[in-house]
Amino acid sequence: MNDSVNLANLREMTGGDVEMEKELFEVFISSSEEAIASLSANILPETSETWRKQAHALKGISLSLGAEKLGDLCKKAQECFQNTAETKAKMVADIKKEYERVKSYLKEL
Amino acid sequence: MLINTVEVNAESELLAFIEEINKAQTLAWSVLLIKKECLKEISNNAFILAVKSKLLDATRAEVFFLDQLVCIAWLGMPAQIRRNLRELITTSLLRENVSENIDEIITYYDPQVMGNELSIAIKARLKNTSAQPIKAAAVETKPHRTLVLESSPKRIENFKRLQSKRTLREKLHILIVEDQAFTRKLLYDVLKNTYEVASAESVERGWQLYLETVPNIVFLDIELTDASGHLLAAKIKEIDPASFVIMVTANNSVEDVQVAKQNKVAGFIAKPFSKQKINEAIEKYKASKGAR
Repeated sequence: MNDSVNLANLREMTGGDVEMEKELFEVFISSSEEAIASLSANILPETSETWRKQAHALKGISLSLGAEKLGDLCKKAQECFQNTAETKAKMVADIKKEYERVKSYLKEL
Repeated sequence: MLINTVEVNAESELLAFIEEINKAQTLAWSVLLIKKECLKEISNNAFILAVKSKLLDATRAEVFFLDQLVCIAWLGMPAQIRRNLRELITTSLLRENVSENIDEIITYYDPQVMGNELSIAIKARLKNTSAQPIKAAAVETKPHRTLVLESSPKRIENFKRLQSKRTLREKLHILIVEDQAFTRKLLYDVLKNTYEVASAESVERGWQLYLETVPNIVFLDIELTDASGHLLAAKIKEIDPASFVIMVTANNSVEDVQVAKQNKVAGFIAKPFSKQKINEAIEKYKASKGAR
């Protein structure tokens, strides 16, 4: 565990099955990158609903993994879906930064 | 979402685009190439109109009309959109009497194929095509189509037949409807060794699988890509009053709870869920089985 990820709940779910966890991490990484790319592409007001949905999706998988900080950032992004493009760009940058920390942690396992 | 179909200078434009998405270093673009000679003769705009309805929540899409190939590239939802496009092409857009294997007609590069590998693969595919610039119009799409859940009398009859045997099964059948691959897989992996499990990524697919598998329990997400999970919950309750549906959601809004109550679902589980919560829901089903 580090301050970005707490895998306790996930490990209880998987029963400590390392292979299953590895597969889940891969799915988490590809889904997150897809969502982050979509957030980056949808900071303008006319696509705020797509932004909200992507933030919601990333929040869900982050919390399920145990990446609480990332989940919290996405929750904020979901709630602030009608903010300006500048604010959203800053939010995406924060999300990316935290995501990279989560990813590094998962890669080290 | 906008489908960008700018003035296309065939291969050079496509290759420039591939270079651009490589530089963006994102794993999010999917690319589909379709052999033009196998497609029906329809206008580019008609083709785009057909395609756009299958792109769901893709945030960007590019369509390139080449001499011998049509290329569709999109950002987001690789697996689901690929399935949608493949289905559209095979059921509606192919010429009659096409005898080729569908995998020879459609070449798909998933978002993991990037960088030089993608460039080389695309170039190889384009090797024998000649450039024919074609102009196409930009088309805006709606994020969702209106979803109508239908079923044929035959399917309903089959459903009713299986329904009468549902409580006699040795293993419970569980259906997961969840659009997020990670959460869907997590739930599936946790349940698969003990139960018969089916999973769907959309409301439409969930409805099909409900009719086919007649599950004892459904774990149903609310915010799905093609429609709300509430729509599916209501439809299930309509056809199957003894259904046991548990809503699984990261949102805990008052509205969601109210709608779920109206649909008479069996329960709610908040994301992130624990194994204990899932087991409690299954035990609740077992306990209620005689009464239902």
